[in-house]
Amino acid sequence: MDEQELIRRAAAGDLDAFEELVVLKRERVFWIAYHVVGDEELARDVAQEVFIRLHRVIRRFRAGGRFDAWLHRIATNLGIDAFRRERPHRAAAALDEIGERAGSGETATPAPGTDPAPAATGAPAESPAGDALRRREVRQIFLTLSALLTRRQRLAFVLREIEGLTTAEVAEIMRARESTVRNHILQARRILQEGLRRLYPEYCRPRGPRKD
Amino acid sequence: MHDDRMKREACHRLEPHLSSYAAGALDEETELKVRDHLSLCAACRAEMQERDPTVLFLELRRAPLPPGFLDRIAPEVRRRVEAGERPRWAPFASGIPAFGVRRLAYVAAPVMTLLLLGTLFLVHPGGPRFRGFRRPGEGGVTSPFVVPPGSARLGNAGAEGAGIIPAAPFPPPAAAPSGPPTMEEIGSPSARVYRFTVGSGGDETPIYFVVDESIDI
Repeated sequence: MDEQELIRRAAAGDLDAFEELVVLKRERVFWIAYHVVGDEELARDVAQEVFIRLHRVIRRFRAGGRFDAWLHRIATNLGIDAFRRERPHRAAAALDEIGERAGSGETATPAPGTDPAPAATGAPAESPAGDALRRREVRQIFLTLSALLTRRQRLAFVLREIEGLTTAEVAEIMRARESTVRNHILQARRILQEGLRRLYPEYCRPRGPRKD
Repeated sequence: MHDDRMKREACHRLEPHLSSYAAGALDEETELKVRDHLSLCAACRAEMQERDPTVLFLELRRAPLPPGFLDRIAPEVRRRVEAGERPRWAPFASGIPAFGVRRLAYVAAPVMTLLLLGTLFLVHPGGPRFRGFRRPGEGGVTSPFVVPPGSARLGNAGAEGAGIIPAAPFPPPAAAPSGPPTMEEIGSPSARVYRFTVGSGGDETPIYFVVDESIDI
């Protein structure tokens, strides 16, 4: 059964078709939510809420419209709501932390007191444990630095640069012009680059010669 | 082995584009290809880090999840749908779930503005519902000053015609038979007092206006 047929039947109240649609879309919805909230468990809760919400409003979806953009917009909006509600002090704490580090001239490490991840020291992270540690560090860095971005800058950056959507798709989700989205991304990249160079210089150096 | 060779070929193919990628000067299609490759190729990411450190965040694109992590979503959604549960985080969970706060604000803002403007129009001085000033004979504020009629005229006494000012803008009461009454300045050194009389014959009523510039309201 193709996607349009699934949507049509789900809108008509077919719960099996709706469940199939959930299975089809859950991964992208989860990752969008994850990049907004930065927490796997919370992102899964958000994904569930997205589909509960979808079930209530799917009858109003106009055939021929862009279902994915519509669904992703619900996901980003609920993700932002969840981020605000569940972690109200995180952004402020991150900003305070950055301010303190910048003031003291200290260079930041994602998890003070822990060993740096292998990749941060220039060594490739090849073991699963090294990968996980590295990913946790990178995620922490992103959460810290993205507190410097506006909500729309962060959203545009996450959706296009990390999630890999096209500018047109991001513009549709954000209900903005493509030029506006490009501008948000440009500014976000500039702010993140500056933050990385200032606070995490070890992540800005070339890591040795290429293997090939 | 085969994968490694393909990856190296992709590296060589996309390497000329890396500088343009860092400068944001690629067309969207090529940029997507380069970004997809960078998200998979640690060597190219490492090479790009100095020029554009934000490639670091491409590592977040797809982290492996615990097995079956997403499998719980569909059954849980189905269970909640069958149980008739409402979305937990709906702004108006019990009322109008599909009507977003932002849309409500779009409607409410112009309505509130119109209400405010309408109220201001009705109550502003001269508006149809303005009740601030009263006409003579309709009650209202009474002056604490008592100036007997015919008291000595002070101030502007030397000027010809001074002290005689036109009548108040509102029309005279119906009892006044002969045109608008004239207003006479009869004041004192500290406060100017104006008087005019309404009515005629034995039914004359003097009206006094006291203007005291030392009183700052």
